[in-house]
Amino acid sequence: MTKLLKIKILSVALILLVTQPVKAQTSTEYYKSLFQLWGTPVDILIQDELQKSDAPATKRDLQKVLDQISGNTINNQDASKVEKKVIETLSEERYLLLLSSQKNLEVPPYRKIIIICNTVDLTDSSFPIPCTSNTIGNTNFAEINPLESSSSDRILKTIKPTVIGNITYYAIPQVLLITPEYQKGLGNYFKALSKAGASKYIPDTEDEEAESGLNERFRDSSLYESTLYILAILLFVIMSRGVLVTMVTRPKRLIERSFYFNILDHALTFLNKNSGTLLFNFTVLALFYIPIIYALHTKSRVIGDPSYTARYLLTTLNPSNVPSFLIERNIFRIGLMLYNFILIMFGFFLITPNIIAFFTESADKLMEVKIKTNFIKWLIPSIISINMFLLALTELRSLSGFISLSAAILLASLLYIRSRHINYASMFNKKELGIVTTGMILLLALNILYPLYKNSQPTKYTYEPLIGVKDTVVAFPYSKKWGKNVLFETHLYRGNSKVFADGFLVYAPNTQKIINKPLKDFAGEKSITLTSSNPNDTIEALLKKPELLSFVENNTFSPLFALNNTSNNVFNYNNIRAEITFNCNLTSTPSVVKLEILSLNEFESKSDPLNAGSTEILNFPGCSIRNGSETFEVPFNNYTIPQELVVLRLRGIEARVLLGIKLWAGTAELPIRFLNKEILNEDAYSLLYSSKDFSPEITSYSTKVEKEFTIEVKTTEDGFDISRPINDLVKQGRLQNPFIIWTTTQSELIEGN
Amino acid sequence: MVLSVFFSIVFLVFFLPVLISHTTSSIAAVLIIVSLVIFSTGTTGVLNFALALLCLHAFVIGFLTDRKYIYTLAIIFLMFCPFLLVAKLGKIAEFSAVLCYLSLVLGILKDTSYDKIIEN
Repeated sequence: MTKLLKIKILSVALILLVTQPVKAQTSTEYYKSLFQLWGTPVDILIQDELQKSDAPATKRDLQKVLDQISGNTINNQDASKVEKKVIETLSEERYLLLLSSQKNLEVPPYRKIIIICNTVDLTDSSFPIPCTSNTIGNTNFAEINPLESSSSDRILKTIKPTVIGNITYYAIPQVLLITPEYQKGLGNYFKALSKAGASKYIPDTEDEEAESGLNERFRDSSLYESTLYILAILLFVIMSRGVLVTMVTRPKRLIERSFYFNILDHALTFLNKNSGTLLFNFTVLALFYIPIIYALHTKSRVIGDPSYTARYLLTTLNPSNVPSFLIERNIFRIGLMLYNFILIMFGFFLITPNIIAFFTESADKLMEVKIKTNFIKWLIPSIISINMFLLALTELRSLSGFISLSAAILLASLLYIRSRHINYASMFNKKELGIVTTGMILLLALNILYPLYKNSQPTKYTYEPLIGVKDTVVAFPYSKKWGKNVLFETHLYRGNSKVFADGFLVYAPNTQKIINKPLKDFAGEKSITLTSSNPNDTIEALLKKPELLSFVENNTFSPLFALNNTSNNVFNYNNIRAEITFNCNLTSTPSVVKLEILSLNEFESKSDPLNAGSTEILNFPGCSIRNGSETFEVPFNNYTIPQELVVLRLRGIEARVLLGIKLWAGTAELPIRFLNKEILNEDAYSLLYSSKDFSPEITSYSTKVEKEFTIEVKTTEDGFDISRPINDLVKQGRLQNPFIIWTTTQSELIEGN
Repeated sequence: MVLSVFFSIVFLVFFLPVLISHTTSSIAAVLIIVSLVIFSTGTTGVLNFALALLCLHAFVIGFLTDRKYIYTLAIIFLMFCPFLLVAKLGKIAEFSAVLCYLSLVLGILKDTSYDKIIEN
C-alpha cells in the first residue's frame, strides 16, 4: 500500500471516527437523555446488544425478575442465593431504564430500576405496580387535564418507589413522559430525587452545593469571608491600576480624547512590535489547515457530496451550534472550532494595526490634498444636474446606488470646501450662475412635467416571446420575468391541460368562457377549479365559507384537518385526548409535536384575519420499535380548541412520519375532516379541486385573484394563444413579476421557441 | 420630484440668505437626500451609502497614490491568472483579471486627469 493511500485512509478514518453520523434516536435513548437532564444517571439496554444463551447466572431477563418477585417460578432459597450474588455486584448510584415492551432481555444487576410502561401487559400481572401507557394504579392520566394544578400532586402520590428484594422500582406510565405538562411535573420529581441522593440534606438555597470535604467551620468563619472580599478588591485594583490613578490624580484626563487614543496607541504599538511573532504564529497555525482541508475533501469525495467541506466548516464555525457540540461531546468539532477562533484572533491582531495605519495615513493624505478650484466649482452642479435629469426619467429604486454615490461625492466635496474655508459662491460670476440656475430650474420643470406627459401618452409596449429560453422543448411550471411596458408575442398551446398564470386560469379545454374569482366569493357553481398558493389565505377562505370544505376534503390522513367545534360539548369533559400514530418504518428523531389552531379573528382585521394559537401536545420520544407503527395517546386542555369551526394543523414533525390522528372527548370521537395537504404548499401553486365534467363556462377560484376577471377562450386549429389573456392580465397589473405559468399536469412539456 | 428639489437646494443654498453657514446648509440638504433614499429603499439604501463612501475613499486614495504602485498591482494580479487557471480555480482567476483591469483603469485615469484635478 503506498504511503499516500495509507495517509488517505488514516485521515478518513479519523474524520469518520470523531464525526458522529446522524442516526435515528429510539425512544429509550430519548428517555435516557431526559432523565440525565433531570440529574438521574440512567443506563439503557440497546436492542442490538442482546443476550447470549450462555450468559452467567447473575444475569436474568425482565420477565424472570418479575416472576421471581411474584414467587411463581424460582423457589425462594434459590432466589435468595441468586439475589445475594446480584446485590453484591450492583452499582449503587445508577438506574436502569427499561420499557415494559422490552421483553426477553438479559437484565444486568442494578439496585434501582425505572420501568416505563408503554404497553398494557403489566395491568393484570403480579407486578405490584400495575400500569399501562396511561394509567398507574387507579389513576388514568389521559383523563386528567394536564394544566390542572393538582396534576403535580397526583404525580407525587402515584409515582412512588417500590422496594422488592433490595431493588427499588419506579413505574412510570409513558403518558407522563410524552405529555409536555406532565413531563415538567415528572422532571421536578426526579430532580428533587437526584438532589436528595446527592447530599445528606437538601440545602435551603439553590446556590449551596454539596460539601466538598472542606471544614465547614472554616468556610463559615469571618476570616475566610473577609479574605475573599480583600482578594476581590486586590484583583480589581491590580487590573485597573492605571485608570484608578488617573481618576484620582487627573480626573479631567478621562474626558479627553487623547487618553483613549493613548490606550489604543499602546495596544497598536505592542502589536506592531510583535508583528513578527504574530505572523510566525499565524503562519504555523494556518499550515495546520492543510491536513484538515485535505481530510474533509477526501471525505466529501468518499460520500459524494462536493459541498461537504464548506458545510462542515461553516457548521463548525457557527457559535450557535456550540451547545449541541457540547451535549454530543463531539471533541473534534469543539477542537476545530477553538482552533479556528484562535487562528482568527491571530489574524485579527496581525491585520488590525495595518488597517488602522492605512486609514490614518489615507486620512492624512486626504487632508493634505489640494484640488483645483475649477474642478470643485463645476463638480457639484454637474453631479446635481445629472441626478436631477436621471430622476426625471427613471424610478428612484433603480437609481438608489447612483444617488448614494453622488451623495457621497457631494458630501466629500462640501466637507473639503468647509475645511479649506472656500467661499464657494464667489467662484461663480453672474453669467455662470445664471446658466446653472436656469439649467436647474429647467430640470425641475422636467421633473414635474415629464411624468405628467408620460401618463397622458398611451403606453408603448414592446413585444417579447413568452417563453424566453431558446430550448425547443420547455417544461411547465415556467417562471417568466418581465420588464416595464412589455407584452408577449403569440404563443400557441396545444395541450389538454388547464393552464394557469399565477392564480388565474387562462385556458381550459372545451371551454368557451373562464371566469376567475376570489376564493372568498365562492358561490358553488357547477364547473369549478380551486387553486391555492398561500396557506393562510386559503384557510381564511375555508373558515369564512365552510361549504368549501367538501371540495378540499381528503379521505386519507393529512396534517391539516378541520373540526366544527360548535356543537361538541367538549367543555363538559376534563380534557381532550389526542391519539397520534407514527410511522416507525422511517427514521424519526424525537420532536415536540404542536397543534396549531386557526380560527377567524372575531375583530375581522384585514392585516390579521386569522387567530393562530399553538400548543405543544406531545413530546414524541421516537419509536420504540423498528417497523410498523406506534400510537401515542396524550391529553390536552379542552379549552385549547375554541367553540367554533377551526382548522387544525400538526407541526413540529415531518408530515410523512405521521400516519393518523384521532381526537376524543370522553368516549366520543370528535369528527375531524382531513383537508388536502396541498393547501400547505407555500412554494408553488396547487390545484385543490377541479370538476371532472367539461362545461362551456368554468369558474376558477383562487386566493391570488382579488377582482373578477373573465377570459373568452377562442381556440383555433393550431391551438390556443395563451399570450392573449396573459397580456390582458399584465396590462391590468394583476400578475406578479416574475409570474408562474403552470398546468394541471405535473412537469408538462410544451414546444419552446 | 422631492429629491430633485433637494438636489437643487444643495447648490442654490450658497446663493440664498440662510441663518447658518451655507456649507452647513448644503451638507444638511445632502443628508436629507440620503435619508430620503434610505427611507424609500430601506436597508439597501444604508448599505449603498456605506459602500459608496468606502469605494469613493478607496478610489481617491488610489488616485493620489504613486502610479508605480498602481501598475505594479496590475502586473501582480495579471501574473496570478495563469497559475490560478492551471490550479482549476477559474472563478478566482476571473476575479484577479478584473482586479488587474480596474488597476489599469485607475492608472490611466490618474495619468490623464491628475494634473487637471489636483494642484501640485
